[in-house]
Parts: sequence; C-alpha cells; structure tokens
Amino acid sequence: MIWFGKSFTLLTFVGLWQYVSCFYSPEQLPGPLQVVEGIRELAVTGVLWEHIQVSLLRFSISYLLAVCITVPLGLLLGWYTWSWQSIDPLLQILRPISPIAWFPLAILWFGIGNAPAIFIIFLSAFFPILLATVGAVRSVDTLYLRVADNFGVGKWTLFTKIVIPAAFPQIIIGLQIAVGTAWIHLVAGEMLGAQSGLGYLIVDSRNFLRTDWIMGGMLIVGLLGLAIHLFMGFLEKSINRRWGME
Amino acid sequence: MKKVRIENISKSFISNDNVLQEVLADINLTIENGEFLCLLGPSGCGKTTLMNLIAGFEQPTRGRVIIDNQTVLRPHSKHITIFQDYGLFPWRTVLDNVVFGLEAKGMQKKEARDIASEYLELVGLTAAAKQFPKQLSGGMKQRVSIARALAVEPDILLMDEPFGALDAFTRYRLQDEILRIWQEKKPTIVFVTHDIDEAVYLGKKVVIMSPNPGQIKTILPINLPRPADRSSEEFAAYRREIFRAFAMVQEKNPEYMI
Repeated sequence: MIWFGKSFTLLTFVGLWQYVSCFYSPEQLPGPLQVVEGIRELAVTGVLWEHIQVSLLRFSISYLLAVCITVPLGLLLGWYTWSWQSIDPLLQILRPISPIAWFPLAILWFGIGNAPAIFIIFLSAFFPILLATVGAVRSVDTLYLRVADNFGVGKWTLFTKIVIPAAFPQIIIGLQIAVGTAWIHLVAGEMLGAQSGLGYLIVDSRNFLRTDWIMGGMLIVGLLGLAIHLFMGFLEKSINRRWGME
Repeated sequence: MKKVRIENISKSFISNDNVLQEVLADINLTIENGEFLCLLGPSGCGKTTLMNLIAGFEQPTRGRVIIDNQTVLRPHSKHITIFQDYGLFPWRTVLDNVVFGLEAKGMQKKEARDIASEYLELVGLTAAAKQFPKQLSGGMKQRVSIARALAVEPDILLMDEPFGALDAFTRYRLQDEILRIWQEKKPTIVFVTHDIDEAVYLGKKVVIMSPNPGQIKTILPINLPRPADRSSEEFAAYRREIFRAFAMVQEKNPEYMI
C-alpha cells in the first residue's frame, strides 16, 4: 500500500512534468525524457562522472574537516559552562548569517578554486554540529556523573568514558542534520567559485542554454543527497546498536 | 565499632522563591560497623538528603559526618550509593557496567572481567552479561547496579529507595537477596525507604524521621530472625509501633480535618 502511494506520487509528478513541458520549448522546460537523454549524453562523454567525483570529494573533505574540528570544540565548550556562556552571544550573531553571504570574503581570502567552496560547506556544517554537541554534553544525565564520581574516576576518565559516550547519540543526530545542510551548500559553493563539480555543471550548462543538463544536474544532486542521507541513517542505526540504544 | 558518626548536622537550601529552607535540623546518629540501618519517613523528611551527606555528594550547612574517624568531604569509592534509577550506563553491556568500578580502581581489564563475572553470578545475572541495560527489566537493572557496587568491595552501601520503582513481587525477591548478600559480605548498609514493611523486614535498626524540618523522631531496634516472617505477630507488632510513631508526627502537624 505504501509502495503504491510512493510510486503513484512519483509517476504523477513525472507525468505532469511531461505534460506541462509540451507547452514550452526545451530551453525553457525540457521534459523528463529529454533530461534523461541529456544525462546520458553527459555520462557517455565522461564529464558527468568527473563532476560527481569532484563534488563528492570536495564534500567529504569539507564535511570531515567540519566534524574533526567542531565536535572536539563542542565537547570542550559544553563541558566548561563558562566558556560556552562567554562565546554564546557571538555565535548567536554569526549563526543567522547564511554561509553564502560569506562568499565574497571567502574569495578575497582564499581566491578562486576549491578553497571558497570548502569554506562554505564547512561553515554550513559548523553550526548544526556545534550546537548539537554542546547541547549533548550539557544534557548528560547528572546521575551518570554522580555514579562515576562515586567510583572515584579522574576528570579525564570521566570525560572520555562517561561524557563522550553519553553525549554520542545526540551528537550523531547533529551530524546527520549537518550532512543535509552541507550537501545543500555544496552546490551553492560550487556555483559561485569553482570550475568543476555538480554546482559548476549547472551554472555552466546555463551558459550553453542546455536546460536539460541543468535539470539533469539538479536531479543528480537530489539523488546523491538521498543516497547520502540513507547511508547516514544506516550508520546511525549500526552505531545505536553498538551503543545499546535499541 | 562505630563506623559512621553524624554530629549535629543541619542542612538548608535556598529555594527557588528565595526562601531559606531547613531540610535537616540537628541530626545526631551513629551507625555501627556491619549494621543494616533503615532511614524511614514520608517524602520531604530529608532522608535522601541525609544519605547524600553520608555519601559525600553534598556538604552539611552545620555539623559533620565522620566515617572511620575522617570527616566526609567528597564521595569515596569505599562508600557506594545505589540509586532508585539504577544509574547504569546504557552504552555499556551488563558486564562492562560492573567492570566500570573495577577499572576506575586501576585494575587490569582481564582481572576486572573475572571479578565482575563473579558478582554477576552472585546476583544471578550470568546469562545477561552481554546484554545492554535497555534489554533488562527494572529488577534486573537494579541487580546489575548492586553487582557493580559490591564488586569494588565497599564497606558502606548507601541505598536510596533502591526498590521503589519495582513491582511488589520483584521487590520482595530483591529484599531477600540484599539480606542474603548482607549476611554473606557484612557491609554496613544505610537503606532509605518510605515503605514501613520494607524497613521492618530489612533493618536491624529503623530510624524514623519526621519532616519540616527533617528530624529523627525515634530509633527502633528490630529483633527479628532473618529472613523475618512477614505475617508473624512480632512483625505486626513492629509495624504497629512505627505506625504509632507516625501518628505522633501527625498529631503535631494535623494535615486532615474531620
């Protein structure tokens, strides 16, 4: 029944798209078949795979960089309440600024190429991860801390063996949210500065008025985003199993 | 031999609406080595606070707690508290939860595991060693936390309404178990409860407390064979005596009108 509903939605969408596209020129709105044909064209020449590779690599680097820097930072800020309270006002001002607004600065600082895109993806993952990690540490059950204190563990052991594992499931949720926002900003970052990647493919196709390639690029971005989301869900499940949360 | 001396303890908090509240007033109590002592009273009588003071989780406003001739300033790994909510670590298996206290003492993993297994056997949970706390019933969880406490061979066990969240049958079974363990290992046990039957069944001494501010009303030594017969005359006599003590509390602060 659910499968029926899902296929129905997708087929109706594709059908409507095909129908509406009949009223427009292919430059304005290509139909689904034309888009698939466009993707095939890109795939055959090998251009598509290059762009996908570049995007995935760029995405992985920036995201992992964000995780490696932000999670430890969040752990420390969450653990030392005073530090979080001191830095909180500044973060509340920076947080509402869209990562894309940083773009002119990123160009000025890092020049054109990989760096501004990586910087923007990093920024877009930074806040969700930081807030989730700080929140996770601050909400660790005081009962756990009391028990550990009772058994006489040192500060370091308390942090590594109690605080981090207790906060872990909530941090994972933050990481998953950050994957979503980072993937969205990957395309934005590549559209603005890069000379390669799926975002660049979309902008470049506009220059050639190849609307089928534009939409093909969008479709691929969506499908890859879905794949990454599913992969993260799978990862979260297996971690939760290991953590006794199921 | 005196194990714990509580000398003129008072404890006050500043409540949320900025009023100074006295939770405990002038508590004096000594606990003998190897004694099973129950702190019994209605909610708000400060029994948990008193236990937290003995455990070193909190400091008294006035007076002091002395254990083995030393003033208690912080928690100690020889004085282990067992909480009503178990305090098990959900990310560790049952065995690793018991191992935790031993590791904290700096014991090697292998040796810690062997000892932990012994104590799991003592509480009848060998089969559950590889499971996670989430998979256990409340009674089993409390057994794990008892095993974890016993594994470090504490000389004082502080139990804060440990069976309060369990159903009656599980509670009876665990009461028998804790009695058996006490007779076998002879730790000093301070057991906080609001259940009169539980206090009579377990305690060699029942400290009856009254609220506003928390004070010790009377101390009642219990002379029953262990395990006691819950339906016996003597058991009923002790219950009656405790009821009478609480009735006196209520005569001073009538909470009802006829």
